[in-house]
Amino acid sequence: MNIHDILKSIENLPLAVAIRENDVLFPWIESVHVVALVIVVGVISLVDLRLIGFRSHHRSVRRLTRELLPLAWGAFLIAVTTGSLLFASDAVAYSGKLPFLIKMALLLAAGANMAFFHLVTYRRVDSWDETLDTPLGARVAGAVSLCLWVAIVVFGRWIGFVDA
Amino acid sequence: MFFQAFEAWIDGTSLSLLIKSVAWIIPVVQSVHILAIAVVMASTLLVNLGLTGVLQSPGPEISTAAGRYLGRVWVSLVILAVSGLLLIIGEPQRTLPNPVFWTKMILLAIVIAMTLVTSRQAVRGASMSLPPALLKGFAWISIILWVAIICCGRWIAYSSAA
Repeated sequence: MNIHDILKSIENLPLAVAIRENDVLFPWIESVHVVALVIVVGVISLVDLRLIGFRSHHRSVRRLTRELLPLAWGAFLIAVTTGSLLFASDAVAYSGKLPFLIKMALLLAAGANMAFFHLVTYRRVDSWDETLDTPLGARVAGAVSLCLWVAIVVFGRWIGFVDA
Repeated sequence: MFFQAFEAWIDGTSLSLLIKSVAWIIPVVQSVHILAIAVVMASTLLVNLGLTGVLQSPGPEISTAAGRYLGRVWVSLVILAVSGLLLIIGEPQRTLPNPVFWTKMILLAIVIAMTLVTSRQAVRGASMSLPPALLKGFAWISIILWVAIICCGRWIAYSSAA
């Protein structure tokens, strides 16, 4: 069972076949994907800007994240679900497209950055939440996250311009 | 048919030729367009969810918060207009004769008008001149309109004759 066989069998799943052969399913799933991803990127950017140090109207990182991160997570799950459906409909072709592979790598990096931030830097948030002195770790996490998500959007769009 | 002469004229402009000849321009401009949408979507979603009561408003801060969020929306709409214009100039056949594109423009005009109304409310806060039920309705409709606009945007690619 090599990778190509696995991808082929994904493509042959009934749902994947249905999406591929139907005229409107792919565009609609893609539209939901776009709605979800713009919510993810937009909401995460607000948190990132606060972490970097732009506290325009959110002094507290804790309060900001408490309200916004569930929203971002919900949208992210929808983005992953729709993305998986889109991928399944043409798994072999997408796997061969460099922008797609880079986008997946960037998503992993964004996830790792978020995990590191939550497990390490955020632990001590009480000491710096309301002060002007955001620790370097938090600023870096915010900046890295912002750059990664912009890149994810760019490479995601690029997928559509690369032929298999 | 109505737009054919206009499209042909646009196609011949040096800007259009430039956009068409450099492969990365359209993908990059589309990416900028999407990133600006992210700012608009997140900002309007947060203000509207605050107005509907789904998200908790941070007390007296809501007015200044809403004001700043909405400031970003107006700036992003300018970016969307410029990037959108470049996309139209680069591919006029994809947009001008396309009813999905015009649907998107009409929905955009409606939601901008509604945002102007609700933004004065959100920023002024306590001095509500609109009944709360109407304000909530406007907020929900705005959210639905923005989602519909994004869907129309994506569907332009699938509904164009080009």
